[in-house]
Amino acid sequence: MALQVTDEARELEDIELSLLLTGIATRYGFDFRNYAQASLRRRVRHAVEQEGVSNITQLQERILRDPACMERFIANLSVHVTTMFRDPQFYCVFRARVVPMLRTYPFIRVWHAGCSTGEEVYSLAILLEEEGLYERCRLYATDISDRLLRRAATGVFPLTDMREHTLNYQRAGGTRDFSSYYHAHEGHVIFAESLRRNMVFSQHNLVSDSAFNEFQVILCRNVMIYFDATLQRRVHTLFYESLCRFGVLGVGRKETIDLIAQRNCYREIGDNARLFRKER
Amino acid sequence: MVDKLIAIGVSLGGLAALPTVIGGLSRDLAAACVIVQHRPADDDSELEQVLSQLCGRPIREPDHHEAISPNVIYLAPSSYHLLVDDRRFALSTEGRVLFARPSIDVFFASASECFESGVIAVCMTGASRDGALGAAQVARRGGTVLVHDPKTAESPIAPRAALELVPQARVLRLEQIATKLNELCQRGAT
Repeated sequence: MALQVTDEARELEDIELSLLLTGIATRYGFDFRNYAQASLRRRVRHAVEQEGVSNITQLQERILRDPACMERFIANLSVHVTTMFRDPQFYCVFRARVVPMLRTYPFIRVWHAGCSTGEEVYSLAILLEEEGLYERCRLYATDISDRLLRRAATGVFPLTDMREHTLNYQRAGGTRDFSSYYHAHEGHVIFAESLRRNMVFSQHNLVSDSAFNEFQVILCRNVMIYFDATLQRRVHTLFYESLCRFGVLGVGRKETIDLIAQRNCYREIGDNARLFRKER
Repeated sequence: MVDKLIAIGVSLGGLAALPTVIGGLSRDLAAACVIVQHRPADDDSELEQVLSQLCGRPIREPDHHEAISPNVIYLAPSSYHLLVDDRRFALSTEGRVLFARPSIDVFFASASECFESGVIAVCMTGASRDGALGAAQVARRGGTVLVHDPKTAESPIAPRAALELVPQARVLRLEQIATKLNELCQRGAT
């Protein structure tokens, strides 16, 4: 683990980090300069280790010259190690308070912004299926990482995680046999094709891209913790513009919307589930 | 603005040991205090409330981006790594480190990068080495490391691991830790 940082080394790291981000923005058009510093620094140090280079300058050289390395770097920045039905309480409140509202719509669009490896998308698909709503839904799952999107679209997950997923599913109010949603094969599970039918996976960059549709539900959970305040404001404006009236925004358990401009346009629903309904 | 941070790393034995330490802390601490206690994923045990009751003092889990305030006792939330970013708390959902999330090492290291010599790391009872590397980082940047005496800690593994990497750390019995912290963090102390 790259913990050893002295004053001079830190100054040098600051310079190299700045050069790396400028280089990437110029060459590839991905601008990470408004990402939160502390977590970005950790991820870049991790990338240095993973690529087997000695410092950030060497990482930069490889990234600028090798698109495959850049793809790995983006995936590294987009990975959240998470489980299905993470924060089961969130799904309980979603079932109790959001689902009844969704029943009134003939067609439902959900946006999973920053979907990473897709656990949340499959979790919601299962919940909507159990509530008899899935047929009317389209789940748009977006991320900046093409690599992670491709993986999420396959519906393949490691078998070893299934026990934890199952426990969370039950705590989230699931009453069926969780294994009925997938079949196991050589250390992996593959989720049912019927669950993937109404999912659309596509690349979208929250830093630079604009609204692409109007949604009844937008979930962006534990994604904006990696953005600085400026970028968070931009993304919240994008979400506000993409939500229909009475649409619902869901963020992560320890994220707040207290500091955003549109704070007074939302009303929190449920208890401590970080679900907010757009009132105006 | 606060420039001292008490960072307490604890796992097995924490619920029994923490009340002695937290209960003994001054009510006018010129430092923020953060407890990183190993917890299960998506922990719904209401540990915040339980600890507040046991310690006789409000303890809260910070939200992402919350400012770090003196004389407040914070508890690292479950299923995230807790970081320090420009004198505010930040969260991460990276994978477990030494099987732990929140990781003590990750918090100690992050705190030392921001607060440098202002960090006082306390390595308490625990069943893994989590905290040792972080404590070494704290020491390297001029901070103070206190270690719960392995001879009396419920689980000596974590304190011993910390002492291995930071042999110059102060070894203290449980009852002495709060007194030492108060001494180091009283207003006007250097």
